[in-house]
Amino acid sequence: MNLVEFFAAPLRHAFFVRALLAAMSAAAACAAVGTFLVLRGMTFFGDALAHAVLPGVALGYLFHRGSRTAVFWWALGTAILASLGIGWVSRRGRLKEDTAIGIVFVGMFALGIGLISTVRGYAVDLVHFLFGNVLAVSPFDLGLVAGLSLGVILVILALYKELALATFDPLFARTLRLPTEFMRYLLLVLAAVTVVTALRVVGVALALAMLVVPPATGLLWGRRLPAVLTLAVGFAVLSGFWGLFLSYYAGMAPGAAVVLVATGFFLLALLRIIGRG
Amino acid sequence: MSARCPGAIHSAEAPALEVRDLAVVRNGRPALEGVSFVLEKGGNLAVVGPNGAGKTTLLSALAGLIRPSAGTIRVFGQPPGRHLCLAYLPQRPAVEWNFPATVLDVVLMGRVGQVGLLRRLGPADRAKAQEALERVGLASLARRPIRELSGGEQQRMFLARALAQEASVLLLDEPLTGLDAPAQEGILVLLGELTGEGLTVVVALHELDLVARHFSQALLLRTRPVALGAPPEVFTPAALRAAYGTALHLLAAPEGTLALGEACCPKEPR
Repeated sequence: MNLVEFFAAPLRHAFFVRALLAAMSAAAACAAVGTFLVLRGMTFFGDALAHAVLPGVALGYLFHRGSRTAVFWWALGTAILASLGIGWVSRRGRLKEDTAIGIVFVGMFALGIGLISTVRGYAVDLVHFLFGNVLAVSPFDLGLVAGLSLGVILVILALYKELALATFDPLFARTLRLPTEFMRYLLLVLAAVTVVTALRVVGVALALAMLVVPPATGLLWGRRLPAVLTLAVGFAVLSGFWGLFLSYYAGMAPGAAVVLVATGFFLLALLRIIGRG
Repeated sequence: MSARCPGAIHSAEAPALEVRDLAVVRNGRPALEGVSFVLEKGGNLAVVGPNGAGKTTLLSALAGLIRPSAGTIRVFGQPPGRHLCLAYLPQRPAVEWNFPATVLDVVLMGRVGQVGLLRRLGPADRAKAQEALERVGLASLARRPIRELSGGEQQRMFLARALAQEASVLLLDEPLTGLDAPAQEGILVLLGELTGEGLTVVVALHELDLVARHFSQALLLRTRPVALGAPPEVFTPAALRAAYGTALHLLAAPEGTLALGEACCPKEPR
């Protein structure tokens, strides 16, 4: 097989092109939001969020049997509610933040699995929710994923200097009268939106990877925040691209393939650091 | 330093800082009571006292970060919450030192409030930041990652950020902690130059000897003000004993009275 055919063969399938575009755009948005989550030490929050979305997915699945788009909106609503809920609990509660998040996380996850398991023959659908099924993305779903990803990236670009400042030195941001609480919740909502787009691509179980691995790679490689963000988004898009081709040729689950490629880039960055001493 | 101060209009005749009968309650207990002082533009004031005396509380209230339970604070005649020209540097800035930023990046953050939402930092902001770095003697380190800075360089960087912010009042909470003697001296000399240029400076400090050498006014605090005035008038054995209590040992030495403070560990049984 020659090189042209290597790329052209999968691209002849419309479902593969849609999957490729969905994976790349969701990955880009996840990396942009994930960079700020990683810098704020909130990666556990991203994982909790992805799992907490499951009951919403389950309800959408029960109410609108078969409609994946409906499930998408349910997931988005739940994600936003869960992110604000976790944000609030971790602020007010007497428990430590990670404990509070852990409790919300497992409770919601169990509720989701419980709800889905009430349906006969649920196992196949559950696997899709847990590990994504990007190859089944409809043209409309692709529009949603791409539109939301673009929206997330535009918000981050527009508020870049405020987000960077509030992440680096929240107290200084407050003395400059920046709305730091608003920005904290805004970041949580952005995280919720990106997690839902990631669900289609890599599923609940691996959404954390898309929020953490490309930003971590960017942080190993770049010295200033603009470079780190660009590298994180770049590695994420490449992971989406090569992951889908790996999935096609190795017959591998696409979500797992995308995450494996992203992890490969991370190891490369790590080796580069170690090689330099 | 600068006449422009977004967010508030300065009254020309008003002093830089005017505090009247300030009281703050924290966790149901008084953290600060009956504090009053006036500081003219270009003035400097050292706030001293044992741990838990309310130094940090006073600075946070001046910065507009906590609400007083009684009394008033006026910054150039205006309430503190409206001022961008007030720079507050906490004792240990809760910043992530592994953040991917250079010294210049951090100093540029001082411009964020001036530039406003949805606008980008421009060449004028860069020039202001560069100028501030030169002022604090860090111009050669502009491109250095912040994780490589020494303690003294970190403090200078934050001072540069305050200058880039075009602050006219600096509030510093124990800026000398963890610095070696030359670095401490360097920061104090710089602060002296800045007040000479019209900046108003309030510093919380533990080092009484440095206060005596570098400040024209001192406020000795133990929840309530114990003494206020020029350092030689404030640092009397009676006042120091009243402020530090049993944590202070006064020793009559040939050179004069030696005060040995045990500022740390107030909860430790003795």
